Amino acid sequence: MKKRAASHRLTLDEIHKGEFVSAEEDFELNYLITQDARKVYRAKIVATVVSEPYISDDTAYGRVQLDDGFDTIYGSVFREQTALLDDIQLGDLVQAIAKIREWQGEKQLTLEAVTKVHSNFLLLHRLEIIKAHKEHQEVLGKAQKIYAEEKEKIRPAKERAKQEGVPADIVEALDELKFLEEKEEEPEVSKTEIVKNKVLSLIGKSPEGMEMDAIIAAFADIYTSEEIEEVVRELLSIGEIFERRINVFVKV
Amino acid sequence: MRRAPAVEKDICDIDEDDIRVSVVGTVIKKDPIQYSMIIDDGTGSVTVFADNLFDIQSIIRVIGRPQMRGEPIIDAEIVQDFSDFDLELFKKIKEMVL
Repeated sequence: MKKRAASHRLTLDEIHKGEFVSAEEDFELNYLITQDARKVYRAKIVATVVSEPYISDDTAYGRVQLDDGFDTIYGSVFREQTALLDDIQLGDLVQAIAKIREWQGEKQLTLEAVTKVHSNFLLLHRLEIIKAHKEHQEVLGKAQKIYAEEKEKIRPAKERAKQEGVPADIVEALDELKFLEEKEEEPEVSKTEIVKNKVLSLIGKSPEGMEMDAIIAAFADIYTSEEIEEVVRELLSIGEIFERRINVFVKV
Repeated sequence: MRRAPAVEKDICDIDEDDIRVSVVGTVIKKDPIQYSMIIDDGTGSVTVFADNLFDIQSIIRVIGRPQMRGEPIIDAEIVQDFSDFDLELFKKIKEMVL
């Protein structure tokens, strides 16, 4: 069984300054690479609830705005998880564990646990962050050295990191940050093209076809329903997919 | 657009450019007629207008928009009960770089 990814204590500005990486495979977790090359699959934050928690009438969706003094962020909850907001009020200091996602270019949290906490949790949170930074800086320096000495080649760098007791994750994160930096400099592939490829590949996995709602749901964390619908229309018009039944799409 | 965070400030450092601030201090005076309190954090004092007033000697955190009316005042959005909060440790942590 795959080990559940542990949460990292972060400030909200670390989340906003980090690079969000969308998982390539369906069952892999999305993650964030912080500016100091930490891979974060789950964040733990301590912040104040600064908006009245909202739960939709059908209780399928809820959201709340959080502020930790460094930045603000929206935390969302879906389906049965909306109950997490039942005991939370405007003004509460809360500790939350959440997955990080990106929605229309803005980082957000999908809350997995939210608890009202005593004010001294703020101190504990900050001290833990300082401790984690200190510990990380020590290994980061070693990882950077290994990565540079191995001429930025990921495989030998990871092997050497393992041998020298440096988490390979950090070397991997350094490599991904470098890749993302280079990607930013390259001419940008249009966003529609990226969405198109992802949607096409998803539809291709279902020989019986996929319903529009299922396609939208699969990308709910990263694209709006309008973006998906537009791409599906385009794929239909260029003949990459066809509509087998009403609202069911199959790859040609 | 993202909402501006309530930046933690010492009372003496609050200025008119601040959008939202957060200050932790002790209530030294309350005025139930004006719905206001004066809080002191050791660097200065500030008048806070709030719906919920706390007793004198209470430690509270105020989040709100500062205004300059001769001296700074804060229109509180949120007032939190910070009883038993370790103020000394908080000051030390603030001096460390996160």
